[in-house]
Amino acid sequence: MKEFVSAQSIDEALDTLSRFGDDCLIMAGGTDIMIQQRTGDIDPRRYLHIERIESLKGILVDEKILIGSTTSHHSIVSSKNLQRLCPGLVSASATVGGWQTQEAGTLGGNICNASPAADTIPSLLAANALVHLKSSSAERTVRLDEFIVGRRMTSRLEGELLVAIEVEALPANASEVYIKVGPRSAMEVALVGLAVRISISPLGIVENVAIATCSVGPKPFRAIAAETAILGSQLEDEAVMNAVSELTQEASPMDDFRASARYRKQVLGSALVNALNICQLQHKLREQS
Amino acid sequence: MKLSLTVNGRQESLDVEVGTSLLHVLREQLGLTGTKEGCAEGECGACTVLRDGKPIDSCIMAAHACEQSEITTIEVIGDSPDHPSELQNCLVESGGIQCGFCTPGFVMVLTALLKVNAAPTDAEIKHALAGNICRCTGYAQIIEAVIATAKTHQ
Repeated sequence: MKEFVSAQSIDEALDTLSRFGDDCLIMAGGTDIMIQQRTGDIDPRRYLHIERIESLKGILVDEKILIGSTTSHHSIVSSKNLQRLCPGLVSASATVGGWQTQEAGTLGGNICNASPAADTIPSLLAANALVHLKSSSAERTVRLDEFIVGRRMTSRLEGELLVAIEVEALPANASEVYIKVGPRSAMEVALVGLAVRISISPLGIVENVAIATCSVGPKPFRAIAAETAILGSQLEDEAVMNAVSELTQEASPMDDFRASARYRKQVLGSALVNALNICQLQHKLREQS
Repeated sequence: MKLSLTVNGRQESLDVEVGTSLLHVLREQLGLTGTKEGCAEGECGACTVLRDGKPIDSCIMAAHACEQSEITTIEVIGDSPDHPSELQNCLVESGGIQCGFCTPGFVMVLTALLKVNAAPTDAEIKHALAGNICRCTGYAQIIEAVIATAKTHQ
């Protein structure tokens, strides 16, 4: 008979995980798991439900920003602190389905599901996110880009629980944006997702830039070559076109019924141009005020 | 596996297979068929119910994940079938109900919206409805109904 364990504390969850390991599927809001189970992709014998654990929820802003793993997308979108310090993540969480999905779906769930189309991951990568993992015997912190290892694959070890996500706040002179391309933004899946976080000096020179994508390869990734192409530039056309070319070369989108690979590549380039324009505009408005 | 669930203020003791959706339990085991199944993957909002006052898609919510929650369904919105809520009245008057299949989901989301925001703007209404699909109305009449409801409360 199948079993459903609803843990009330981190200790209880870690205890269950240490006993059953991978023979136990961790469920937070369940918005991905329930679909995968219905389509027959998974057939877990035992669920470990972690949504009731109060200490896994919430947003802590101190020297660093810590977001509990079962914090809902709705809580992220409603957080005044994150609206100010991590606006890219806020706009990404706001595109994860409609209100209903945002109430149930969690940030940790979006990460651990490790979908190639995970909306929150590009913005998290652009904010140099770290994931905090805990097991009954150890704790460790891993860079998000090392945690997500492939399509629906993470480097989470048997017995480990993702407890929190740490992000860097947006610097004072920086702008950021998340662009989701799709026929309906509340639709589950982005055809292309792109996050940009950029610092521009008063003279208009790009001092720091992070570009990250989803839905254009087996896993979301930071586009380092594209970043290099505009670092130190004044976002002149040539630098931007070089970045577009690097980004589209690095992307390996798939053809499926939602969109062709060719379309995704083309739209990815346009998304980068748009994202840089938006960030530059934000920078100019900030300089004027 | 045993499941005790609070639905519309009533405590229910059930035997439910692990992994079953809340929607299935509501419709098939409790006979609450006002909540509809549309897409069954959390895209259309027809199955929306309130879980502790917050709208969720019951088709992708595990029933056992609701043990400690209060579930509210369309059956208890309004005083009785003859006395619908103000929002339901306004939806009828504005033509916001046509085939009616999506309506329970819209009513649940909009009831939740009006509870936290008594006078929502057009943009706020549209934002709240991003997870609900209606193939009949074109949405304009639904938005009109929400604005009319807000006015009756002023």
